[in-house]
Amino acid sequence: MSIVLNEMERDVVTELFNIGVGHAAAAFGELTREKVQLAVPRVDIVNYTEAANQLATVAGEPMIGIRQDFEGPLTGVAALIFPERRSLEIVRAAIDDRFPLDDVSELERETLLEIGNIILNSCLAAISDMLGMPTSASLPHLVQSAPPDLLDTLSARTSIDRIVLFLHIDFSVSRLNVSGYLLFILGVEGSARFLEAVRGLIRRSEQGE
Amino acid sequence: MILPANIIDGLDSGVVVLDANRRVEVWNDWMAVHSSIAASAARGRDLLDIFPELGRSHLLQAVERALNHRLPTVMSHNLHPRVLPLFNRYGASVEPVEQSVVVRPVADGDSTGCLIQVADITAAVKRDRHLRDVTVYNRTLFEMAVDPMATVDRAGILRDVNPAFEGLAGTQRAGLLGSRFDAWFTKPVEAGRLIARTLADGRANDVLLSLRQADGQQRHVSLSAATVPGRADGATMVFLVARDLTERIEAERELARKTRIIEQSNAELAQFAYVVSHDLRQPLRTVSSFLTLIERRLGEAIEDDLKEFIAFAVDGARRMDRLIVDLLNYSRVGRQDAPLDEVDLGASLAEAMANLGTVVAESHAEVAVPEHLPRIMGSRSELVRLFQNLLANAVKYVETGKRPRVVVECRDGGSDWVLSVRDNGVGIPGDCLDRVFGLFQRLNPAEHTEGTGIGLAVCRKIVDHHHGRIWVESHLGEGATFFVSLPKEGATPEG
Ligand SMILES: Nc1ncnc2c1ncn2[C@@H]1O[C@H](COP(=O)(O)OP(=O)(O)OP(=O)(O)O)[C@@H](O)[C@H]1O
Ligand SMILES: [Mg+2]
Repeated sequence: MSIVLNEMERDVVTELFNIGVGHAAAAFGELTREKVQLAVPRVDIVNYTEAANQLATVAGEPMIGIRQDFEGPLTGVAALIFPERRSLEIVRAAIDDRFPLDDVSELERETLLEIGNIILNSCLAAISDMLGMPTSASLPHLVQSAPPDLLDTLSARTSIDRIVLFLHIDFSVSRLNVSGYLLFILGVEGSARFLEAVRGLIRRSEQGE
Repeated sequence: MILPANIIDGLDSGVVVLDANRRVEVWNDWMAVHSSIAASAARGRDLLDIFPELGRSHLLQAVERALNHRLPTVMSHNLHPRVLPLFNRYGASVEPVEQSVVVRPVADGDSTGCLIQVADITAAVKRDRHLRDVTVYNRTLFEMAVDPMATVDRAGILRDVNPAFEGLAGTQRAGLLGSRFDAWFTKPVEAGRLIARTLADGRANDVLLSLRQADGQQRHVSLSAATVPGRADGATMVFLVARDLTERIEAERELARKTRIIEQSNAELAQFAYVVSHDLRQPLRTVSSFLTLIERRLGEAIEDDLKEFIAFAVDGARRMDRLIVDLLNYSRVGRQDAPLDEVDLGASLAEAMANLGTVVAESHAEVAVPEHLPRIMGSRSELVRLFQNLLANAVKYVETGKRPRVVVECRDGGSDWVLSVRDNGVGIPGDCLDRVFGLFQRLNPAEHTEGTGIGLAVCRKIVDHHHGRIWVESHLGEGATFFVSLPKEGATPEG
């Protein structure tokens, strides 16, 4: 099963997530007094295997993910994924740490968790508000793994037939640029519902014009 | 869904449950203790009522998010250090609680409530700060060290460098980190072996290598390395300290070059001295031996004054031969072949006096010498020469007609013997006290025609050879005193 987005739909979904991460960027700015910019340049809807392949092309570098499960009209797993080393740099830039320790401290992990939480919450809130799909979420937690297994770590192997919203995300804070991925792993039904809601939004906005 | 109160109260972290209107439903014992607000006083009140200082705080935003969007919020300590005004009280001391807070939606009947969980992470924060202090301290030491330092991982990749190392490599940190350590050296194989050996043995000391700077210049370094023990992640790192020997090695090379030149000119001088002694002394020997032959031929018939003339001529030739020998000896002062012995300074002085026999006699000089003089390690012939030159000057540089009076003395100067030769002669002007020791330096060549100006230069050379000092004190017209200090230990033979 595969779902294909037309140009218009792709634009709307991209816009939806850009609004979400835009709120996240504003929240960061408030927290860190650093200028934070977040952008989602591209969205793909792919099946589980394609998503795994896309992640595998990221050279064997260890990745770290922040995962939140969501439920409601849409049920699934949301995750923000960064190269592990770069994610630390984000944390250190955010807390303006000029003397970082050699090893990642618990406190730094917690901050990374919060950063992921802010971005994922913002995206989920945007889905809730704009698509009218009230989605609640679990607490975030960290997952660490090499790329090929990461997806399996995020979502059990049994969910091969799942659809993945695959988003690239660019994160920049005080001269630091990091690219990562936002994944929303949905069930087949959920993704059909999501697409329907997107089309509804397009219809409504066309009527509104 | 809500746990029994006794369990919630038993928790070692703060638990607050708010209803859809932000009113407190649960306020566990931990909260009561750390906020000093009893559960009974908190229950039923709006959270903002209890803590008015929360205002538009992130905590309230998180509560809104949980109640309205059913989204959870993590408030990390780094970004929100003390979310609520909570305190640990130990007797009289009060300390704020460092917090990590989680806010999440909870089902509350039909509506949505909100759970605030507060963890006391004061201990972790303190440990983290301490670790950070230690890190800053070590980092500062590393950054400020004058010696270049670096860490290299098991794979031979540079992982850390200090500014001194950047200077050594002539490359900024960014260009060094991640690069292969051995690739910076003119002999990469040896540099790689140093890392391998350190990993095997735990350390390696003073390995000489040449590092090639980014611009191609070479720096000679001595490297010492050790593995960094007991790292938490178990990865072995090699810590290296370099000492830049470039300047020293270049100075040594320059010194070796100069030494070679000096050795060469010394060899030439020795050759010259040999030629001079051989070629000048040979004809002199001929003169004196033929004079002796003539004397023998003339036999008993020879007249007394003729005999005397011949004797003068032979004596002259002998003196000239001596002079040549002395000249040779002057050039040899301080050379390795001058034997070092225990020398009786008294005997040396007596020998000098004897050598000066006629000079002293003719000048009617009065010379006072000490009864006892010490013995030192030195070169006998050189010390005789020293006394001889000083005494000769002392009786020579006197106004004509005045009777020279010379006093030789010796006093104990602690680690040295200080010899002095005092005269009642013309003296030396204040601005010439150094100059007189120079080669061919004569103050009044016209008045005192004899002499070449070598005497004191030789004295200085001899004293230098004995690791001593020579100087003169004088006032014009009031005589001069020459001082020589010689270490009691004597001249140590040099290698
Ligand atoms: N005791 C002294 N009193 C005054 N002047 C002196 C005395 N000793 C040396 N001088 C001055 O220092 C000069 C250098 O002395 P030095 O012994 O080196 O050479 P010289 O006596 O002239 O010749 P020579 O090489 O035969 O000794 C002398 O020419 C003299 O002018
Ligand atoms: Mg003299």
